[in-house]
Amino acid sequence: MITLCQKRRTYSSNINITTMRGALLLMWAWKLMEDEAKRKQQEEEEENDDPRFISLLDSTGRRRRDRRIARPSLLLPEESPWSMILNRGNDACMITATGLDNQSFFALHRLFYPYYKNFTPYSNNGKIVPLKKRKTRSGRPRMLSSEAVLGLVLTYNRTSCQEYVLCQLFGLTATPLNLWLKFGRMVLVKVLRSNVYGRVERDPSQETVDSWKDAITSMYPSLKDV
Amino acid sequence: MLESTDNDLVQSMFYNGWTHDHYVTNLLVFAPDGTIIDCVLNCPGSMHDSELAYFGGVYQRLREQYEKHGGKCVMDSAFCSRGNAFVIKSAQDVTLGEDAQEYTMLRDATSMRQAAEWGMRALQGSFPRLKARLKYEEHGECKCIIQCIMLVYNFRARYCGINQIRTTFMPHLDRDCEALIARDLSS
Repeated sequence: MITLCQKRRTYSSNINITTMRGALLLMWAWKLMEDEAKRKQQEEEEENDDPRFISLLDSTGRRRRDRRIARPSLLLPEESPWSMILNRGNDACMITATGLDNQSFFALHRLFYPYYKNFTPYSNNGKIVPLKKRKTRSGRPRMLSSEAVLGLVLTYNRTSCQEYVLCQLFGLTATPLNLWLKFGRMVLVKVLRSNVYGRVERDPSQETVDSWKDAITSMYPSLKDV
Repeated sequence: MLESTDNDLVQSMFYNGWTHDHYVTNLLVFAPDGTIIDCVLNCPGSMHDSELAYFGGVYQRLREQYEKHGGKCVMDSAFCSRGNAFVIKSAQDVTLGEDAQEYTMLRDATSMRQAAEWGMRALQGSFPRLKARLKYEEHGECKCIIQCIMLVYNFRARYCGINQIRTTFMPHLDRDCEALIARDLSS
C-alpha cells in the first residue's frame, strides 16, 4: 500500500514538472513574438519619423543616387588617365598632377617600392601586414602598380575633389581606392620621416644655420643672426 | 577645416571665433631654403598661436637652437618676445622704433615675415586637400594626412626645388638641386 502511494506521488509530481516546462516554453515563445512585433513596430515608426530624404526612396531611387562608379563603367588601371600621364613623361603634366616632376617622382618611388612589394593592406584586422613568403607564385597579381599607388596619394593631396573623381582618374572602384590610399599614405609618411630630403629637420647643423644666416643677411643687412 | 560634430564640447574646442568655423590649427616654422624645420600639427582650432607654440614646445626648441647655433627667428605680432631673446617680432607700425637702427630692423623684420606668407601659400596652393573639410575623428587619419602633406612639401622643396622662399633667399640651391638630380640619374 505504502509503495503504491509513493508511486502515485512520483507520477503526479512528474506531470506537474512537465506542465510547468510546457507553460514556461509557451511564455518564452509568446515573449519572443511580442518582442519581434515591438521591434517591427519601432522600425516602422522610425522609418515614418526619419526626416531624411533617403527614407522616402525605394531601392531603385536609392541605387540611382548612390554616387559611386561601378567596375564595368571604369577603365582598367593600366588604361586610366593616370597611366597616360605617367607614361607620357611630361614634367609639367606630372607637376600639375602630383606636385613632383618625373625625376623627383621616381626618386620617391625608389623609396616607396620595397614597402609596396613586401607589405599588403589586405589583412583581417585592417592593418598593414607583411606579405607571406611562398615558394610558389600564388594568388591574383595586383592590378594597381606601385607607381599608381604613389601617384594616388600624391594626387589625393594635390586635389580637393570627391572620391569618385579619383576613381575615374585611376580606374578603381571606391573600396580598393580607399584601401590603397590609406596604405600609400602610411607608407609615404614612414618613408619620408626618415629620409634626408623629406624629414622635418628640427636640429640642423651649424653649417646649415650659417648658410641660412648668410642668405638672410645678404638681403636684410640689419637682421643679423636670423 | 573640420565637419561640425554632435558633441558640443568638441565643437566648441575646434571652433574659431575669428573666422566663424571649425578648424584644426597647425604651426609651422620655415627656413630660408623653403623647408619646414619645426611644426605642431592637428591642434584644436580655438588655440591661440602663441599658446600653441608654448604647449607644442616650439619656443623651447627654438631657444635650444639659439643657445646652440645663435640663430634667431622672425615671428608675427601674435607671438611672445618677452623673455625670448631668439624671437624678432614684426611690427604693424614700424615707426614705433626708438632709433634709426631699430626702425630699420622693424622694417626688415616685417618685410621678411612675408616669407612665412609665401610658405603658407606654397602649402595651401600646392596641396588643396588642406583646405578641404576633414571629418572629425578621435583616432583617425586627419593627422596622418596633414603629416604626409608636410613631408611631401619638404621633399618637393629640397629635391624638386619648386619653392618661392628658396628661389628668393637661396637661389644658388636650385643649381645645386639640378646637379644632385644629374648625379642621382647617373648612378
